Amino acid sequence: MAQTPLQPLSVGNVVSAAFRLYRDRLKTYVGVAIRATLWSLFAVVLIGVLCAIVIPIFLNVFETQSAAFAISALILIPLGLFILFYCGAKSLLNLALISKLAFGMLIDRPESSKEARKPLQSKLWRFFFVNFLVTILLFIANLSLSLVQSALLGVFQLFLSELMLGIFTLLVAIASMVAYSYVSSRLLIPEVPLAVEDNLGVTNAIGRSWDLSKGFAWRILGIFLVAFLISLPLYVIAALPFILSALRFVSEASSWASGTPSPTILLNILTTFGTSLLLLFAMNIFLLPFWQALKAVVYYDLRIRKEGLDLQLRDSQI
Amino acid sequence: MRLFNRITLLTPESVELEFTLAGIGNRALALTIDYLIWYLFLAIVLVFTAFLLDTLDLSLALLPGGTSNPELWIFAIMGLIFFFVYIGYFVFFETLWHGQTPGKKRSKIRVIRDDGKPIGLQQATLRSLLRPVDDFLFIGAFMIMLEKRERRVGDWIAGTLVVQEEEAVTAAEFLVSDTARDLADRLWQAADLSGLSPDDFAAIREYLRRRSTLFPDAKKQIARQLTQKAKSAIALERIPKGVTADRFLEAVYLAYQKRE
Repeated sequence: MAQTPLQPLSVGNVVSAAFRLYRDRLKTYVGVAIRATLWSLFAVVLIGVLCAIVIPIFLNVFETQSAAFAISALILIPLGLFILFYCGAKSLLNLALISKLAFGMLIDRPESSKEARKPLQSKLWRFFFVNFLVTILLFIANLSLSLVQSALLGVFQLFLSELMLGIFTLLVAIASMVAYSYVSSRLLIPEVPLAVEDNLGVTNAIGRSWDLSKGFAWRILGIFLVAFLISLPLYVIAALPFILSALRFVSEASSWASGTPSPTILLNILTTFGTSLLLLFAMNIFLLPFWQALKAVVYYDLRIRKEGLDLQLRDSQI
Repeated sequence: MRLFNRITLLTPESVELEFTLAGIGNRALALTIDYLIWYLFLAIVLVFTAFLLDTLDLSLALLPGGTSNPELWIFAIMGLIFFFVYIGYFVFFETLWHGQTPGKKRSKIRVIRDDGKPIGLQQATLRSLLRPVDDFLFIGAFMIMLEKRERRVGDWIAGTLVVQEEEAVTAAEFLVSDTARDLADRLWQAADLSGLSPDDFAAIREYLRRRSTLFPDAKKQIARQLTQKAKSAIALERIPKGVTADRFLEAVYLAYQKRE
């Protein structure tokens, strides 16, 4: 008999479960997260290298600088976009893979990352387009809310006193944020059904995220809030050297007004700053799997509530 | 996989009690709620202090042979009150509500001693006094996440654990139709309900409890699945005509309960 609690999970338990999954398979998940990050880095590096190669060539060939830059742009922009999209897709695939592995653990059908990755390769571009479409949808939501906000303020400022207007602006801003949060929470997990279920198209995957989250948007937001709270310690620890170096910089800067800064102190501050950036980068690699595992647990919990996944699984075990 | 830590405690009477540890998520949620309420109380104390400092030092200075530094007295007294609220919020609630604070109540978790007994004043005070250590650089959070029994420094020193409340298996709150009751009586006569395992019964019960949130397609499929299973388990040849899967399952549920 399965040891997962086959029932809907409370907000706190979803987060604890995600953390537990993350902790138990840390090495595997971080390995996949590194691959995801490397793909993103690779895109940036490749584009940089290409620019460094192409632009000087054309600068030599053409007489005018503007012509050289124009031709370079003509070649580099489409190429660059393709590289960004391809590497982005690879990166997103790896992130979704973590969610798929986590979900497998939840339904007691664990897989190795190699096995789980295979069926995902054919869906590579779908991962990209899902992300792209969600970004556009969120952008539209944001835009609409801003327009409504401006319209409301424009109308009400005609007959409200300054104080009331200030309060009204604040309330409208809060309402706007709440509405946006609601929409984001409904569109949060499309890559999980895309990775886990078969034969899902781009719009279907987004539709799954939307349908499954119906009636549970605030719960999802609560879950992510609690998860953010427990990831805070890691972010703070990583940022600590940065904060210290920033403080140091501020205290030293006052003495520079009188004279030139000492190179040793400057170097010191820069190294601490650099260390902090590296730490933040490393922390991000460590935290990405946690967020993906969380999405998997949210998906699992929603399927239990909406589709009785636990009842179906229970049936197949006995 | 085992998602939550379960521990078994041996009480002084050699009784084994099994609990599920609270988990970092629940504790973080409880802490957030508690801190918000706690800060509210502390803010009230501070505002009150400011108010006192504004109004009272005038009158105190007028007292015959009055103190030269009424502000210091006010600081001292309010400082003491602040300290008491600081420590007292958690001590008060955890002692009075047997290990729960408003936040913990919301997350359905509870502080208990590590021998299973409810916590007393001593443990609650120790936990509260050590709270600043746990808050410093999130030491407490790390300990909860990494330690085997999810204890922070306060728990470790005070000998307490934080566990999830066991949900009492109450009478399920779902409506059962009258047709189901009649059907249950007929089933009771016609079929052998001892063939239904407790697991199957639990599955039917869960379905009946949660069917309102299920997607319609999924609901139909699961109802069908469960009906088939129940039918073969209780050796019923056919389901009576005009009886939907839902009604049938309700009837089986009622009939099974009658066995007890």
